[in-house]
Order: sequence, then C-alpha cells, then structure tokens
Amino acid sequence: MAFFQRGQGQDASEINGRVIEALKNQHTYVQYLNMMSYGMKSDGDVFNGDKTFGDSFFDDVEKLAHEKGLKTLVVLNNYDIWRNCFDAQYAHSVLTSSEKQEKVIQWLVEEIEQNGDSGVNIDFEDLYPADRDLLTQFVAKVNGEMKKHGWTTVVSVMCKTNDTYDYRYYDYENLAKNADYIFVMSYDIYNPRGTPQLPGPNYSIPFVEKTLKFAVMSVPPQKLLLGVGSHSWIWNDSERTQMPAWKADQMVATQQATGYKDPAYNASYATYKSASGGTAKVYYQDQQTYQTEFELVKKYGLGGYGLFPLGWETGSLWTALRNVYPGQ
Amino acid sequence: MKLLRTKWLASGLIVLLLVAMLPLTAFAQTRFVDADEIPSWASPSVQDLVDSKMLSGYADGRFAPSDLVTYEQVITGIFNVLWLQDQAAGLSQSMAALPNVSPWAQGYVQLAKQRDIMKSPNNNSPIPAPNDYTQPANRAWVAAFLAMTLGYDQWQWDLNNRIPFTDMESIPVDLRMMVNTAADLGLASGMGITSSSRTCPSHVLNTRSSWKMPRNWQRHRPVSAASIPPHLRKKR
Repeated sequence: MAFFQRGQGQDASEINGRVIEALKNQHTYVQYLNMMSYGMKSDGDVFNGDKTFGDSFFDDVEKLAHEKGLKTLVVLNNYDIWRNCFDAQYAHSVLTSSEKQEKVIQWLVEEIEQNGDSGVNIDFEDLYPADRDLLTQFVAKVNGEMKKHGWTTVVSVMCKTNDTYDYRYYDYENLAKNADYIFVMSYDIYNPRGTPQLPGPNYSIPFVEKTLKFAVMSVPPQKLLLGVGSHSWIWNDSERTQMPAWKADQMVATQQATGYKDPAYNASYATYKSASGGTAKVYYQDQQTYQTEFELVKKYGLGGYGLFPLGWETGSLWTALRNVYPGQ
Repeated sequence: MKLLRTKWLASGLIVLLLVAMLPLTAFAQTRFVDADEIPSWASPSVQDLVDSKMLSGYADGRFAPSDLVTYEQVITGIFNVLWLQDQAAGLSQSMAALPNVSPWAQGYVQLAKQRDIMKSPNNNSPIPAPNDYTQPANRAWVAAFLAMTLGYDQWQWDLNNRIPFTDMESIPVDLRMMVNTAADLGLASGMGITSSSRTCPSHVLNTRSSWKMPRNWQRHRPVSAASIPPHLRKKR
C-alpha cells in the first residue's frame, strides 16, 4: 500500500505530478491508497484538509486510484494541522468519550460511503502511555463498524523493539486482533526531531529488521505491513525539514550535491551547501536499500509494505519491487 | 563461532539447571536420603555435580527431585557452573541484603543484577526481575535467563529455525525473542505433548517435567567429551 499526501512547499507540483504518474504506471504494485488528507479536532470533528485548497486534486487522485483498481482508505489521525504535530490530548479526549467516538465513527462511515473508500487507517501517534487500552478499545469499536460494511481496518503504529519503554500506548498483540493489518512505521530511527539527534539514515536496515523481529512475536506476519520511507531528513538544517528521495538523487546527478555511501549503515547520502551557507547532509533511499527492505517483506512472510509517502520515491523503488517480486 | 565456544558451557548448564537445581548449602554428601526418587537418567549427572562441589542438597540430606525450582536456585545454579562463586560471595559481603532473596542466594542475585541480565531502568534486558526470588521459576524465564547469561541477546534467533510456538501468547511480549534465542541454542524446545511447538512457558520446572529439554539438547547439540571442561566431565 502507499500513502497519498498532497505535495507542499517548493516541490509541491512535482510531488503531485509524481503521485499521478505512479498511480498510472505502478498501480499493480499498490493495493491500497491511504488518503492522508484529514485532521481531527478535540471535539471529535474530522475535516478534509485537501478540500480547503479549493481544487479537485483530492477527487482526481481518488478517481484515478479507483479506475486503476486501487482501494482507498481514510486515514484517521490525531494530527493538529495548526500546530503541525500529533496531539495526545486530542486523542485522549476522543478515547475517553463514547459520545465523541460515536461522532467520529458516524463521520467515518459517511465519508467512506461518499468517497467509495474501502475502510480506514487509524494513525494515532504520540499518545499518553496510559491510553494504551483505550486505543485498543477504540480500534476494536471502529473495526466492528468497518466489518458491518465489509471494509478494511488498518492501524498504523510506531516501530519499537520492546513493550516496556517504547510507545507503550501501542499494544501490538491486541491491536492486531482487532484489525486487518498493522502498518509498522519502521523508519525515522534517525531523525533530526528525535532523541538523540544523531545523523543517520531513517531506514537503517538492521534496525528495521529488529523492529520486525519484535513485531512478529505479537502480530501474525501476514497482518504486518512494513513501512518503507521515501522521505529523507535533512541534517544540519535549521528547519529540520525533509526532502523527497528523488530530489536528493537529482541533486547528485546534476552535481548540485555530492553523493556518498556510508559504510556504517550501507546507506546513500549526499552533502550540499545549504541556503544558510552550511553543509547540509541528507540520507536517501536507493535501489539497494529499497530492495533489502522488500526482501525482508518476503523473508518474514509479511502481508506487504507501505510506502510513505507516494510521489517522494525514486524510480528505483519500483525496480527493486520488480526484482524481488518478478512477474507481478 | 560464539556458539561453538559456549557449547561446553551450555551443556554443563543444562545438566545443572534441568536436572539438579538446588541451593548450595553447607551440606554435601555422596548419597542423598531420597536418592531412590531421582530418575535413573538424572542420577549420574546429579552425582557429577555433587562431586564437582557445584551442587549440594538440602540440609536435611534430601535432593528433593520433584521440588519446584525457584528463581534464586536457577541463578545460583547457573553462576556455580560458570565458576562465579567467589564473585557472588564477595557481593554477598559488600552489598546490602535484598528483600525476597534467601541469605544463601544474596550474592548470586546481586551478581545477576550487576551484570544487567534482568531488566532494570539502566539496561535494555527483556528479562523481568522477579518480585520474589524464592518463588518457582517458569520455563520461559529460565530459558531466557540461561541464554542471556551465556552472552546471547534477544535478536540472535534466526527466522529460518522458527517453529512457531502455539502458546507464544502466554509468554510476556518482551520475553518472547529471548525464548526464541534459547530455542535456537537448543536450551529450550517445545513440550512435544500434542505438538512439538508448545512451550508451556508458564510451567514451573522440576526434574520430572523438564526431562525433554536436556534430551533435546543432546539430540540437536551433541557435545564431545573433549569440549567439556574438566570439572564437568563425567568420571565414569
């Protein structure tokens, strides 16, 4: 599956164009398209942020996806678009209120029916650890409603390697019992917003495999979807922003940046002069890392992969997929 | 390579753990008063360990082969085979007494804590520290503790070796990978009651219920006499 997220910033139109191209040309490798267009407010109201742009891009993407045989999913999250972060209190206010949950579920059913979607991806992040059971109960409630309609429930979870210290609010085992798929966001182990802020690839393969090893202890492998990131964090950048993998690739190809291979991580990275005059460093996915990740999907017998986000990847991702899954 | 190096060690540990885990006491003898209750397959191993001074019975002269093995007995047994009696004794003298640990096991439990084998805020061990070390230990915990003490971590199990345990859900989530590592090493395996893939992880250990584990070890990991250290070699 893949995640649709409207392009923003200076690369917005390029990203949006690549989303359309990928849907047209690579649709056989994507079964579900997750529409990351929604935001939720503490009163349980959910709205479609894409619709506020006053264009038809959201509808165009959904229409094209359906024409190509993809199933679309509503991504329900606790993201505060005004503060640009996930909000634990938003989630808590919904998880502790039957009334708000009913409101959200009712909206969800109407939205899915209206768009011709096929289900939901529940993406609640940065929650209070104490809300662990409440999240599982909410997922069970949503999934119960989805199943009445024959729809799919996916739960997105942060990757982790233990159940004691990290992301305690995700109960992998019981979430899996109440969902069709668990999407493990197995990336961003190194990111400039994390702790510690050490430069490194956000897709470190040894770490990815550790997160899988942990996950398959609690989740049936066929329900697990491996997160494959196409976003690249920019280090030494005051704004701590991200760059599409294709852009880093382009910068190296056009000698705007110098490409290297980091032997410690077996990962590609590029350096270039940033706007502030310093040297920025960006790790990015190349065909080898994509292929290694897809081989993990095969090795562990997973249900599939989840590309985040669509339109940010290099063409080598699709080549890697074909290499690992020839004939599909 | 690491596996080969520790084969002899693990062999000795298995014998000690699964056949004859008992506290060290001042009492040691050549024949236990309940020797007739020790199964014939275990008796030579028990005798070897007694002769090696790594094992002694209860003060009343019993071996008590059907007694449930406690956490502190497991820890003590493993560290005795590793020849860490002196370190344990030193810690026993220098550290404040721990609650819920028998006096004879104080140094050994301190040593386990010092080596970060059990979970604490200062380490990433997946093995929970018992609340009461005098209580019976279960199979999952013993297997995990043994593998961790031998220097293996929870990530070292190999997917290709995997026979999914049907009762994996009854193992605490954080302990599951360590149990897999122990299974890969041959330190633990399924119970083989209706299927070879059942671990019965919450079962407590006694000599009768755990007889399949050393048998599995012998089948999968044959150990030559030369690879066994002198103090563990059979003297027959």
